[in-house]
Amino acid sequence: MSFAKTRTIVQEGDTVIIYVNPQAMYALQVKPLTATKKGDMVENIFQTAYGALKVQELVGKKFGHKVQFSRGWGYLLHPTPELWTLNLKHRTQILYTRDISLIVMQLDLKAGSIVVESGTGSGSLSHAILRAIAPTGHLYTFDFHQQRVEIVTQEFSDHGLEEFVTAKQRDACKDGFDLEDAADAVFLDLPNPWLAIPHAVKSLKKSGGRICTFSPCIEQTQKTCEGLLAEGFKYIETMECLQREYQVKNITLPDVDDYNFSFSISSNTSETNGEGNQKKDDRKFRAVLPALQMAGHTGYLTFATWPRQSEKFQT
Amino acid sequence: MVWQFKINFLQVNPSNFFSRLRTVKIGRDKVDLSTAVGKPHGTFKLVRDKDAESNVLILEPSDEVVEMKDKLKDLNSGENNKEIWDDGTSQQLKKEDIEELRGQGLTGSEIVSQLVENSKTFQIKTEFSQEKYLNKKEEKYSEWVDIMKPNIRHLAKHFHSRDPMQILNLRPDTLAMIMSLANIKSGGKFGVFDGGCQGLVTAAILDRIQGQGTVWNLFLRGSPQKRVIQAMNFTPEQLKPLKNCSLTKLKEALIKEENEDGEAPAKMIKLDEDAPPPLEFGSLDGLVIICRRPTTIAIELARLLAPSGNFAIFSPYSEPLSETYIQFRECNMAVNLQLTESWFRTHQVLPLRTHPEVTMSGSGGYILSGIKVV
Repeated sequence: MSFAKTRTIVQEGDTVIIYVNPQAMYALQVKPLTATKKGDMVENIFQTAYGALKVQELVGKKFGHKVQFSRGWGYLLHPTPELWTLNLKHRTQILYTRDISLIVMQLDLKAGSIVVESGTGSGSLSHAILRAIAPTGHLYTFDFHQQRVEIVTQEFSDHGLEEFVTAKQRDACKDGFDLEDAADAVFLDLPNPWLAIPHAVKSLKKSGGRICTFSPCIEQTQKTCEGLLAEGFKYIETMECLQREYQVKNITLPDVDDYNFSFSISSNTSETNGEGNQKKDDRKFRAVLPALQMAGHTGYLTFATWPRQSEKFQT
Repeated sequence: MVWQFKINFLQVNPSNFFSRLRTVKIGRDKVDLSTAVGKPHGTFKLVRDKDAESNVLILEPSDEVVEMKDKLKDLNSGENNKEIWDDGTSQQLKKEDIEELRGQGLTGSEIVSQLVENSKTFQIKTEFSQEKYLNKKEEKYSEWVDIMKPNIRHLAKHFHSRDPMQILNLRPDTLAMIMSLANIKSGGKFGVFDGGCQGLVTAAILDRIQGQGTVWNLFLRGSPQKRVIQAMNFTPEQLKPLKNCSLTKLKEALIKEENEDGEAPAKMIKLDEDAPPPLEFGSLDGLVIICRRPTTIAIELARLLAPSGNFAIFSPYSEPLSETYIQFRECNMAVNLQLTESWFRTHQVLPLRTHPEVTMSGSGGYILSGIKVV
């Protein structure tokens, strides 16, 4: 329930994040019972690397405080779309915070925006869109896969977001969105986004709006740009964005890496007064180290503006 | 509707600017922007007022933008540039000739037609090269201008492209990331310490939350940054969440409360006349700090955050942020600490001519983000 409204204390039904370390975080729903693989209802006990956690006992606990496991502890965090993106169950490839942030800003989303999204996928972007547009906006999200729609609908409901979102099974390329003159923004993450552009035009407000398509391949992007131009979109821009993450480390080099040398006689100090702690301090420094491996490509984002339609186009 | 005496955002391909309505120079022409007042935002054609004696152009709403490359598309073209020599004589028209054509009141596309006709080499340029030439001329002689409402996307790009360090090189995509990492949402209580981005982040938050919630614009010396906030033309309703708060006064209030109540957390402070909601330790849902050297102030301001509150600290330099990173880690005040930078580039997408743009921004600044824990 806790996505929609920020609160300080956990209530039954809330989704919470248990943080152990950056590599070990878990999204849990606080309820007394959980289903086993066989479908039997048993007490909801979650196993962490540091022992068991009786999930129901989180009720009444404060967010941002420590929580005890049987052999250690972690932190109880309030869910955010970013933490959800890191912890949701992947049913498809998902969008990450880097691209999501750019999409939300470049589509001019704000409280009150009406947004169309296709496909829904695992709901990673949907949660960030909902944060931006709630409580006065609405998200219409479509996926052609029935099971994905059912699971994400349950998640929206578990997260207290159901009144701001309509999730439907629909093939956007074939059947469109069943919306007319309604949306401020349309987001397309489909294998053939250009097929859905005419439907997007129909759903966008006549007073104008924004569109975004996400495609991993440049060939898709090219077809999309041609399609957008043909339909009358303006300010078509294609961009890509990656995140560089840095580790901050205090490094003390071993002796063998200490190359204190100079051709000048007076300043060649390493042999003479480089004793004990003084010498060790010389080998200390703070490093800002880029990750040794990073995501090098996610997809190309294409944005465009649907201009205000003048009277003569309106029927 | 285009506003009078308020800021409007203008896009003249490819440059943009914002302006209160008055006479401005677009390309080489003076344009009387007040002729657009009262008309819907959108595309306007620059028109020479036949009756008027002055050479100031006026604006007329226009639906049919004809691009130069469409007008001239039936021309011949060459195979390659083998026969083209750069000897400075390919254009037969001299500068004075062009000025004279302007004086006769020719439109931009008429002048470009003349330039093309009098070019010895245009017809043997390749099709792609012709298009590039015309696009370049279009920038100079465009007859159309888009007038739009200012919004954060436009303003962030405008400030960053004109003089990045004026807003501490806070690139638009980095701003987008800050909005996510600080968990900005309608109805929340947020704090912004703006040490040099002209109120860009505060304006972005005000725009996102649309009147619901509170934004504390924290400042230490002088007055709070507000240039971008003003450029947004917010309504009083949209500005309602904005509360300016001097850190010196806040400190006095919080210390006084602490002394009176002993250990208890500080309560109400009164800074604005209209009794804003209290700002106390542990009360903010999200915190954004923008400054060159956040090393000492960040960890202090984080005390204002509620447990599980999100923060994003921006600096154009990585070194002070690495200090801050260590500070947060050593006092166990935050989890999910991340020091990141974003890499961003745009692409030219044209049939058979798709490639990354040849110049890109080298850095968009650094963000240290995390979640406060106790």
